[in-house]
Amino acid sequence: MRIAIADDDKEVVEFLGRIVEGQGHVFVSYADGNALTNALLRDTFDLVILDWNMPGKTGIQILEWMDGAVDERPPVMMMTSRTAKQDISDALNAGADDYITKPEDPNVIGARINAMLRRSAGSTAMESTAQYGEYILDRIEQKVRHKESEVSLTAKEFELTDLMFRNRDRTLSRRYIMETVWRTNAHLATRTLDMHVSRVRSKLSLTPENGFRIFTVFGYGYRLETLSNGI
Amino acid sequence: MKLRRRLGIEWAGVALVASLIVTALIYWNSLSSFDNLLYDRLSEYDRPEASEEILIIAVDEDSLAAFGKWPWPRDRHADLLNILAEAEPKALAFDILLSEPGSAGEDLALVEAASKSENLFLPLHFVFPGSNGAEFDIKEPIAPLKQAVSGIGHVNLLFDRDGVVRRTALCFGGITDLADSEETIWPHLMEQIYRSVNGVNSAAYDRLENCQQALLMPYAMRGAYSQISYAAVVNGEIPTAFLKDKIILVGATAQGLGDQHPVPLGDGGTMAGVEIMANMLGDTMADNFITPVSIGTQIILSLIPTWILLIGFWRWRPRTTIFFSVALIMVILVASAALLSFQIWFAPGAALVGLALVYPVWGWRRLQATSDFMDDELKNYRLETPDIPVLETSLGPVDLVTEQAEELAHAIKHVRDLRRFISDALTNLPDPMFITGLDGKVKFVNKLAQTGFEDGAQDLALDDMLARFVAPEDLDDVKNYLALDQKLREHDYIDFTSLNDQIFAMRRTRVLSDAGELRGHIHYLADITAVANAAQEREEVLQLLSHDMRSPQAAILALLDGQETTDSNKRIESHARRTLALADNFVGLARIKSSEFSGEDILLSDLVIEANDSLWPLAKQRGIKATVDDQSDGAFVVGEPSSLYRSFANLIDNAIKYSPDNSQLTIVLRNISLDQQPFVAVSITDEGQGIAEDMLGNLFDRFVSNDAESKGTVKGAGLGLNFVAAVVERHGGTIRVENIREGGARFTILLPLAPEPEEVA
Repeated sequence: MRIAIADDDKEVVEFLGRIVEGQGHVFVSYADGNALTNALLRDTFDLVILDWNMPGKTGIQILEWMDGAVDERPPVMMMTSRTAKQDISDALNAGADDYITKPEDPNVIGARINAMLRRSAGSTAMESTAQYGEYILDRIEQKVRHKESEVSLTAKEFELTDLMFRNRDRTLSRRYIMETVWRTNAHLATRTLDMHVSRVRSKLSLTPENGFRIFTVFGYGYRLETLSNGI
Repeated sequence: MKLRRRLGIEWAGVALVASLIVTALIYWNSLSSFDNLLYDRLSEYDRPEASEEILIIAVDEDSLAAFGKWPWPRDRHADLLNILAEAEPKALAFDILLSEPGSAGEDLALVEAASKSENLFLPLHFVFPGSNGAEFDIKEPIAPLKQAVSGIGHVNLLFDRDGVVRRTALCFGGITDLADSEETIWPHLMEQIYRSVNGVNSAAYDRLENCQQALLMPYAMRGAYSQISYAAVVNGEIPTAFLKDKIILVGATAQGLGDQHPVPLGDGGTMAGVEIMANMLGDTMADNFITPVSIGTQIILSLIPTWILLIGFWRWRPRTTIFFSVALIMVILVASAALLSFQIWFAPGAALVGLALVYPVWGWRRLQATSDFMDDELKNYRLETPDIPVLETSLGPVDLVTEQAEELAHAIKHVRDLRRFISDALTNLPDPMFITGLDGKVKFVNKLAQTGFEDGAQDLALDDMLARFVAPEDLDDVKNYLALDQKLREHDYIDFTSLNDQIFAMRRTRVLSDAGELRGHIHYLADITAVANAAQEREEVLQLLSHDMRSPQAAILALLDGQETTDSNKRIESHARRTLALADNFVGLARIKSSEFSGEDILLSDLVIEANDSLWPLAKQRGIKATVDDQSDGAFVVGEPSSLYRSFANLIDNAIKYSPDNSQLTIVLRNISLDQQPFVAVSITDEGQGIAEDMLGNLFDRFVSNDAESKGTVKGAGLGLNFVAAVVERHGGTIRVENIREGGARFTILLPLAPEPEEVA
């Protein structure tokens, strides 16, 4: 896979380069926003890792530019030192597919990059059972087995679990979750989703000890992260 | 309202009194002299022709000269009757009373002559009052004569109050015998003549409702009826052919005989009774009597113009009213004259008096009511506004109403001054403002808001007004804000950029009357350009700081990642992370101090769990087990997620730092109630050494850390707890720290529970 890394910080580029090369990908780096947009016009990438503050064009400007200028837009991972909640939701709403605040653990970054590439490669056929770490999902019986014990979930809880496992390491918007699990874009009481996520988290013990954690992206959605001791 | 009621009462009073007066005038016929005068003048224009058929044989001065003084012996009349009997007149009426018996011989001769005449009628006379208490006495011709003639008829004249004979009664009715309730009716002598000539009652007689009804007699010119001298007839100077087929009336015309009565001929003269009778007979034959309208009709017709004027008072200005009054007088007179030509008499006097009465009386009452009202109002005004000086009239004494009017003008001037003062004050307000009325139009603009509106903004629609100074991109926001109900607004102002790039905060408040009625809205604009720019700058600085402080640290950590994990690298990493935390806390703290609280519903247990999860690698490194025990049953708080998350991460991070390796860290969420307010309490308990006693009091102050040299090897960010305290306070919560008996510290945070959301159906 070819990955474009746009960051004006040499150290960061090298750091990210090590991660993607470790996963067997190749990368091209750009230290200037305009250089990246020029490259995007002629070249094809499977993923763009984009810094926010760059000379030439800012990450947000590039996202907006991509909307009109590029036919088949590669997935974009926003990676920046900006941590404000508003910045994160702005970037995601401007079209970024995921957002990582610097600094982040190399394992987490690796997992997130994988998740994005996995998705862009097309979803794999749904197996009747799937295993994620110590969790086994039985999609026919709608049951989850964890460490040899069966966890009983409601239908919606199972669907939510399934959705999050399939999209692990990827940030899902609340809207997307609601439309997929509840099959409605009507204004679902905002607390309903919070409560379901909370129950799934506690019923399945999705804790770092078990190799997963659910991360809330405030103002946007949720992400099920796999930790280094997981898969 | 007060004036309205008063004027209503006054009006009703004037209307009632005027109506009563008009009715009384008609009922008691008090205006007859005026009405008669008018009638006399009007009737001059339409005098009837005298009938050729009627001939008067007059006992005139010549006859007296020929036959000696009156009364004549009755055989003289017998002579006349004998002559006339030969001449064969159509009818003959003798207007000479023959009610007392004379000498027997003369009477016999007369009876004999009378019986020879056909169609001879004699007069009957009533004397008022009658003898012995009777209403009247009847003077009939002597009995033999009465039997000899064709009939008798009454000859009483009706005199108006001025003594003029204008009317006649075609019949006379009365009860002669007290035992008899039936009324006896005597037709007039002329009616009898008419009947004998035409064989039927006259039309006028048939129209009569009763004998009390008098009809007005139009008079022909004086002397219009042919007259010949009694003496000439008796002396045979008149050929009998001349008398044939005439209706002959015999009566006295000589001045000395007394049968002379005033008649309405406009010359003040009198007329002989027999000529009056000739006129009456002429009127009967031509059927041109004039019927006065009945008293009821008279009252109604007379009241109509008065009421038109009365109703008009409500609608018309005084000038119009006077014009209408004059017009109504003309209409009454013309109507009266017009009716007369249709042989109907409507006496206009009462109607004219009504008009003449109601105009000045109403004028007087209206002025009085208005004057009293002004007096009252001025008194009230003076009471409410004690600083109004009492007007000193320097122009000398004037009448009361003028004085009141001057005082009113004075009060109005005072009010105008006051208004001017208020308006000046508003105009010169230091910030722009404008007021809209209920119709959404601009009613008032002060000087500053008027800048740029040389053509004035008065009566401009609110939307147009906004469009003239709000930048187009903010226009919809401003309109939406203004459209919102006051209670639903999140903020009590809206800020927008103006067309010339100033930033304003606009407030809208309601203008309420004393009674709480909505009268309009005040829009107050404050120029917050400087403040907004400063806030903007601060935000930019914060972002720059945040980014530019974090970026190198992130680069350091990225660089370290490629290196071997030597001890010094580990220390470099630790310092870089401390710097990062310091930057985050610093920026977070600065943001809190500069921005408004804007919270959302947060499931607190999950937020705490995630904060704990984020520190798991750190805890695991030290073998510390940090567990979250959620007993809060899904408690939601209203909060700012980033800062809350950061606060709990800070606290847990701190707790891990000060915990011994392989120890237990317990985080518990519980619902509690304080002063009946629901809170959720989060306690974080470590098994460390606790906090130095002298630190407990000021632990949350800036740049303080539990970093006593004796205690740890770990270093904390001095801003961390300060940040936590600021965040908790911002969320309406409290934070408490204590050392527990078993050793270790416990931080407890209380946050108010979010209100239950409204059920979504």
